[in-house]
Amino acid sequence: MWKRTKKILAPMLAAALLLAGCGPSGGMGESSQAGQSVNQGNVEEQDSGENNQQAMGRYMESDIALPEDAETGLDIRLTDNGAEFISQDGTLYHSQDQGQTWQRVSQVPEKLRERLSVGAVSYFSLNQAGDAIAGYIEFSKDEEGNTDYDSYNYIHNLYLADGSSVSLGLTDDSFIHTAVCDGEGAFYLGSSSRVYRVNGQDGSLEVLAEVNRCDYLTVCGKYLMMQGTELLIYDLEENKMAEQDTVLNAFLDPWLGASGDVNSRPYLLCMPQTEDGGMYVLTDKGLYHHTLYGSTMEQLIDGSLCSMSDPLQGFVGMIRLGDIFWVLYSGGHLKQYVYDPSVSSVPENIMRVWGLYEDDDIRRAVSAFGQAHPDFYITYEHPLSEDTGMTKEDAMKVLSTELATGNGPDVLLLDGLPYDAYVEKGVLADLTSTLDGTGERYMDAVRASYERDGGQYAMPMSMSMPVLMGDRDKIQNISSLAQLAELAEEARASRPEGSLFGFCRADVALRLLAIGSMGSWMNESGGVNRDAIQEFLTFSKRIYDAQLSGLTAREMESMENMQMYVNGKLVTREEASNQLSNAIYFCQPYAMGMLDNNLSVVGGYSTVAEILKMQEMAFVPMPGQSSLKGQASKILAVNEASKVKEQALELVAYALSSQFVEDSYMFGGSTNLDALEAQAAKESGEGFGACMSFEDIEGNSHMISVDAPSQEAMEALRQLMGACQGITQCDSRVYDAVIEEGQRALTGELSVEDTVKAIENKVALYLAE
Amino acid sequence: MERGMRKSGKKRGGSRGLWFLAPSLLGVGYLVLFPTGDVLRRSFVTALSGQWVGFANYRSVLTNEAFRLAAGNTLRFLALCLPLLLTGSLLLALLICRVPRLERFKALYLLPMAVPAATVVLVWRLFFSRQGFLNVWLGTYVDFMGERTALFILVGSYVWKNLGYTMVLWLAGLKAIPAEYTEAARVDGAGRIRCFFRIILPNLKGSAYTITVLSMLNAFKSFREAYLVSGAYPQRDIYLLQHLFQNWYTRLDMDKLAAGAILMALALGALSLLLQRLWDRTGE
Repeated sequence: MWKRTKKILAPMLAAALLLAGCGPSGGMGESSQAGQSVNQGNVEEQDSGENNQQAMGRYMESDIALPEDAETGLDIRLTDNGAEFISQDGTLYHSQDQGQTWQRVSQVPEKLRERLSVGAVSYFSLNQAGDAIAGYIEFSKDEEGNTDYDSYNYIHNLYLADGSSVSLGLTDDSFIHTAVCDGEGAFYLGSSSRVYRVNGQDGSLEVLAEVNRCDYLTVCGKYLMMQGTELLIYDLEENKMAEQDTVLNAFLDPWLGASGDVNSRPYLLCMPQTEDGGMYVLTDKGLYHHTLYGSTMEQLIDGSLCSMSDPLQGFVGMIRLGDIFWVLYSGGHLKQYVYDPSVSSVPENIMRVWGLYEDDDIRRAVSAFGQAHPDFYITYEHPLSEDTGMTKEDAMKVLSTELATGNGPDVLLLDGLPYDAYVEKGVLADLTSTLDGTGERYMDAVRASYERDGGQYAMPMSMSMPVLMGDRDKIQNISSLAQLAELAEEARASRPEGSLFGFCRADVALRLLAIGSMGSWMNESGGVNRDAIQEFLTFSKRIYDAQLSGLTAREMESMENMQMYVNGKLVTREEASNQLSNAIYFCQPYAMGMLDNNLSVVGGYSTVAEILKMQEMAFVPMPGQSSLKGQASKILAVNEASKVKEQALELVAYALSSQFVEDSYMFGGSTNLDALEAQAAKESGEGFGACMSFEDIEGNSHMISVDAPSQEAMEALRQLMGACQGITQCDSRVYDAVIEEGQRALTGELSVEDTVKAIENKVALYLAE
Repeated sequence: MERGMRKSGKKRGGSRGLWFLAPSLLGVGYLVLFPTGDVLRRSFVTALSGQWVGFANYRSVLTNEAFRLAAGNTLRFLALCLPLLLTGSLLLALLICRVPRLERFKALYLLPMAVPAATVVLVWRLFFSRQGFLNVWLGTYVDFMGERTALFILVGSYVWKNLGYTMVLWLAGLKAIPAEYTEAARVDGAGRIRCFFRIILPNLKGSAYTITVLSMLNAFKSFREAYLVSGAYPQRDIYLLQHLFQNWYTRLDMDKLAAGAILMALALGALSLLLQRLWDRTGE
């Protein structure tokens, strides 16, 4: 009997065990995921009645039109019967119909309005009574009426609504960073050492707190949040410092200390009057709810699904109107976020973008593409930019595993990754038809550099050309390293003391000289080109010796101090604008660097052209062994095995489009020729309109007004870009070996021949693999 | 009838045994046999597209200079390490057997095994880098991990790390030999050396095989230290097969990796069989 019972029980027990481990896919996993989502945001679950549960509900983003006269804003705030918007020139608008119409309410005095509209104000705040507080620098005029930039006064004024103004009796030498007002009409100012309260009626000052640094101030109910490298809380009712909120401090740690410009912030705090201790925290990761001194940060909106993650957009202001959030961004965009319970909490379609390092332009493209495709959840992964302790090899191994199992990222940023190996393995999709289909013109030489067996499997967003800058007569016939070495020695003979090229370290010298030569260090069979490296080191040594033989101790010290290190590693800023600013500082006759065709950003070609004009310099392709080849970055490719290949190709096409370059103020030059022409047309119409100041080693100031490049300068740029014969594809291990070992040749520790042998030994294993 | 019943009883017992074995067989099949089969399959196809290429991957691996170097280095490393470790640890075990007080510290001898690889690497750097203690003492400026000395540092590290553990294994073997054997031999006039070669060593045969195979497998773990010190491309002499496999993996050369892994498994299997045959023959 017992045996029979066992016979029946045993299979039943086994079946039960088996079933316990093999529940329906929508069971534990789904419900826990949904639970997590509920914690992260206002997400509800809808049960379709067929065990097919899906987390539903998310905040959807939409635009709200700004007042007609306004391009950007300085703040938004809530009133009893609607919302108020302060435009870039200090004009106050009011809306009672959820932003459908705006009525102008008041304006600040004319003089202040002019300064605000050109952004020449250090801080500004307007209270609900119409009184404003502002600070700015006023330069003195010399006898002839010209502006004397060395002599200025710092003006701090309270502009009362009745038209009068009061000068604040600020004796603080430190810079006032930020101003804010409370609901009672009082203002608060934050400097690098103190926080003040300013009476909104008579401008009298009171020091509230001594702080180490205060970048931003926010009034949250009865508390004043002082945000510097840490978040301090001041109780305005008790008139004393309150206890720190450790949870909020820990959460904001990555953003505290980071600063935006005068009008925008990298994060925002907001506490509506209606909530008792509840506040909202806005970051690029999303919108969070937190109860002051509470223990949780509850995510309401995922930043990666909307404009919050766009690196181009700083936060200006935020309000909550019932269940709707309004966020004012620095680009002049006012967005509203409305909860929609009928859409899934996370878009069902997922697209992964992967690169070793984070890139702001890619982030921007991802964000913009995601906004245009709300049905896609696009993630951007960059393992080496995060504090994960991961090495490049680790990251590549993870990527290899994903690619090998068919679960790889959909879009790949190939900077630092082996393009040819991936093409050979069939990992990448052919971009030819996608690029041809856009109807845009890309640089032919760049496209050709990525062609393999009739297909093109990657395309860089950005490229730059190596150039030598100096006196046109002296450099125009220099085309080889040998001639550059002769030029350096002649320059040293005629100028026994002083910097010639802007380097004092052997590795920096090699990096700068390599920009025109590294493309020739490997031969076609994939081996090291011994002769080319030997020639490179021989002439580099001559140039290095010429530079060092006349460097003064002061120059060397300055150059050492100007070196930039990231994670303990030296970073050489090869951008032409950076090298030219060094040339100004050290009064150098020559400079070498990478020149790009970007006209729209500070440091781009507009800046370079203006500095060259000021210094009476010109540029020629960098003399070297592969001087007519450019360097590419932001190299985009699509995974052939992607499940959303069509959309991935669409994202790549968008990132490479002239529209994106125009919208995003992309850093670096574009490979899109239409983008260059569009920029040229735009800049010649609107003008760049920036003013830059440089200083030399003697302390003399040099001011330049950066405007659209002249026709002549544009022609020179077009010629340079037109002369580009392709993209330098030097293997990073060979490059690193030449820089690392080559220093020993330059400093004389090893002969050039022995150094070349050491380089060969160093890369022999790698090449043999 | 009785015979028939016995037969059917045996059959039922056999199938019952299989049921008991099934969970572990499933585990072994899923975690060992299936992956091994997959690696074998991959060694005959292209990396990701999976096209049949026959023995092309094996040809590619066998003609690859880096593979030959890494295989040679790995063999050389084993040839240096194993004799040093096995003889050194055995001698120490014999010494401890003679001085019973030392046996109290048995746990201490295992300590090197517990030292994390990262700590070992830190010590290496402190001692053997250009700015390390060794250079300070010698008054030189040599990167010992970048020169031919790297191999000896790796061997030294391996021996240091495994000496105590292997010695404990030998001790267990030595303890299992009945004391009467050596006492009887002594009475018959055998010296210590004769006792060792005629009594102790033959009785250690079973342990020796296990210890040798374990030590050989442990030798492959030395890659961690070499990798942590010098990265993917160390000094030529300590460039081991694992370096090469890892670099292939990083560049998605799964086809070559699979072929290389099969070759390595075959070599290790052959070596183990050879050792076993050798042991068996010695026993005869």
